[in-house]
Amino acid sequence: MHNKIKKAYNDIHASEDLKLKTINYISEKTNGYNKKNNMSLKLAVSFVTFFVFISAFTLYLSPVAAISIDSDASIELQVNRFNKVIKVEGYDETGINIVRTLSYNFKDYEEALEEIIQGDDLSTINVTVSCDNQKKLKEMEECITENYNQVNCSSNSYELVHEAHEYGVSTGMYKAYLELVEEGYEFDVDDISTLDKHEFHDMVKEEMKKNNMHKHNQQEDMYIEDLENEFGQDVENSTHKQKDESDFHENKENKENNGNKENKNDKNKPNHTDKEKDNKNDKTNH
Amino acid sequence: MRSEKNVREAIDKYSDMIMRISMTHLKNIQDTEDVFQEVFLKYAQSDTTFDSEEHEKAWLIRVTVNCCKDNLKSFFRKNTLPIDDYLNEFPLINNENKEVLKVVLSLPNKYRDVIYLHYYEGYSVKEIADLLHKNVNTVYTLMNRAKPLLKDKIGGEVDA
Repeated sequence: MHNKIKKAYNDIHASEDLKLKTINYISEKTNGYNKKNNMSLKLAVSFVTFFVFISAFTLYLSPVAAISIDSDASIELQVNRFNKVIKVEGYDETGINIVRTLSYNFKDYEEALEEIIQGDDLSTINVTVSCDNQKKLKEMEECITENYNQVNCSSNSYELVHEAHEYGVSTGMYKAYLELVEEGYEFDVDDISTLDKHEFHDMVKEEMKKNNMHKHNQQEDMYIEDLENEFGQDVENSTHKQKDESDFHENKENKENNGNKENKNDKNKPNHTDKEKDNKNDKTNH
Repeated sequence: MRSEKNVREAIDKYSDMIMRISMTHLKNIQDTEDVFQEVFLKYAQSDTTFDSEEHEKAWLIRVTVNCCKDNLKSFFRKNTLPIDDYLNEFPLINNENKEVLKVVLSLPNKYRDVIYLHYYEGYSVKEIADLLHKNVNTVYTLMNRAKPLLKDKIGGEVDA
């Protein structure tokens, strides 16, 4: 049996043609039997590719803009240079709860924004866009105002985001806080950290609402003024406007004013897109 | 990386052995030739220093067996041919030897290496165990199971 097996295997040979083909194949694969130089080149290319990949990945995960949404909840979206949301953070209890249920997974910021403010009363929402790139900032602001013409949209540099996060609040809240300070509130920036966060949020939200209400009242007044100019009538409305103005000044002096509640709770205000744009300018100047 | 001269020498010396091991595992001439080329490419690219000719031979056997196993698992593996058709691809095999090889190739894969290495290359059970990284007792078991199967079909003495 041994001999038979040996004899049978003895008939098997590699053909000369196969040997020649193998020599050529190896020569081709090793770049003329010179693979080592090729290997170092490949290694260099692999390193470059790896670093390019890591850089691209880091670039993708770096935020360049922040969109702060403040209404009943305080939420902030961190957006990368490709307009994708890379992080969502809640800055109060409601905001944290919303963020828990929200799946943002690298969605477009427009889509994420739509999910967050869906069903909310737009007039009570403040959107603050922060970005150092002026072109992108303008583009984002335009996009938001076009899609949600009733929200109060403002913009600022990304630097403010870092400052706000140092105090553990959203950029919108921090900006509103700074505005309040400018308007004469008697506490300085350092007080944010010592204040009860809920208290601070409630206080700033309340003031934001008041400002929004004032803005809408102004909008209504301007609308009435336009009507008056057009039709030359309605003395009663004119009186109403004066009353609103005096109410607003009282708010600014931080005095409780319940006299204008009727106007504040009036939610059936007309929607005038052109006027809103003027109002935004007003807010920025404020 | 070895020189072209080294590779040519190895091809001249071991090409038949590589071909025999490859054809023992695979049942398609294209796969067999692919493995043949792959083994010598690995040899050309290897920096392993061989202590002796035996060491070099054992290295090539080990690499060939591994390449065959990889090929059998590969997605790009060609269709297997019936043993008769496959053996017809080797024109130098006469009919009597073809029948013997047919019996060997019809054995389960795990027996074939052991049979080839023992009966053709003349390795002992311990050497086969070292070569294939198997337990000596496992190799004994494989040998003892394969021998009666071969004896029934080929005839002759069980051990030479």
